[in-house]
Amino acid sequence: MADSEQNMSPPVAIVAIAGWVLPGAGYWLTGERSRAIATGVTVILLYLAGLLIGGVRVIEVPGFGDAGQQIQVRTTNGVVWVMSATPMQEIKAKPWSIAQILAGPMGIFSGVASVYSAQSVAVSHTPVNEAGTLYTAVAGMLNLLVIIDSTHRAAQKEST
Amino acid sequence: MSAVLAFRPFLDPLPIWQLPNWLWTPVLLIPLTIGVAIVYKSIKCRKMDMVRKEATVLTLQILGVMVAAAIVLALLVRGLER
Repeated sequence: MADSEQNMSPPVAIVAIAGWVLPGAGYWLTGERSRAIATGVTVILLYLAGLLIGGVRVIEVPGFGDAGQQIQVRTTNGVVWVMSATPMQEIKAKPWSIAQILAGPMGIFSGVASVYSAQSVAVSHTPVNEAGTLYTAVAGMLNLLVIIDSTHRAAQKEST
Repeated sequence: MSAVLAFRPFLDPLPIWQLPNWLWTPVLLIPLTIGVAIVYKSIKCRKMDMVRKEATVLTLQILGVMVAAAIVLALLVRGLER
């Protein structure tokens, strides 16, 4: 009974989603608690360190300009938001946002905070801003590695 | 001092320019290196007991290579300047 409980693992998709929602949670669901804490705490601390170093404006949100306004483009249908006209081009122009969103809902919340604070806080153009961007993006990419590894381990448990 | 007092955490960039120039790189580089090493070794190591030692070694290796690369680039730039 105890053995069958230890081998039970949640579906791979649930492990992947949990790993994105809360860094390290994928390992937690597969029963690897210490690995979950080590990776989760490190990813969260790196992301928060990035925000502390560069300020929340290091998060560049696709579709929004430096002043927090929606970027509009002229199309044959008139003037529309860039994210509804050419979303891929806009995301390609802000590639760091792809890595930052991989850190989980932290990426979304800090993106919202970045847009809302845009009126009162200017984007820094110092090397500190680059360092903050690097920290948040590296945290997101490390979380992607953690998600991939935890789902791989979950799949192996599922197959045994 | 006034810049430090006016600093609003998570809104303003960290006033790192208050530190001497030579300290900027270590202050920004070392925490990132430690974080990368911990996560990477947590994924790679079969047993979590090994992570502390392996991550310390990897951190020192990364920092060593960074310092070596900085020295080589500095020598190259000085050589090209002559």
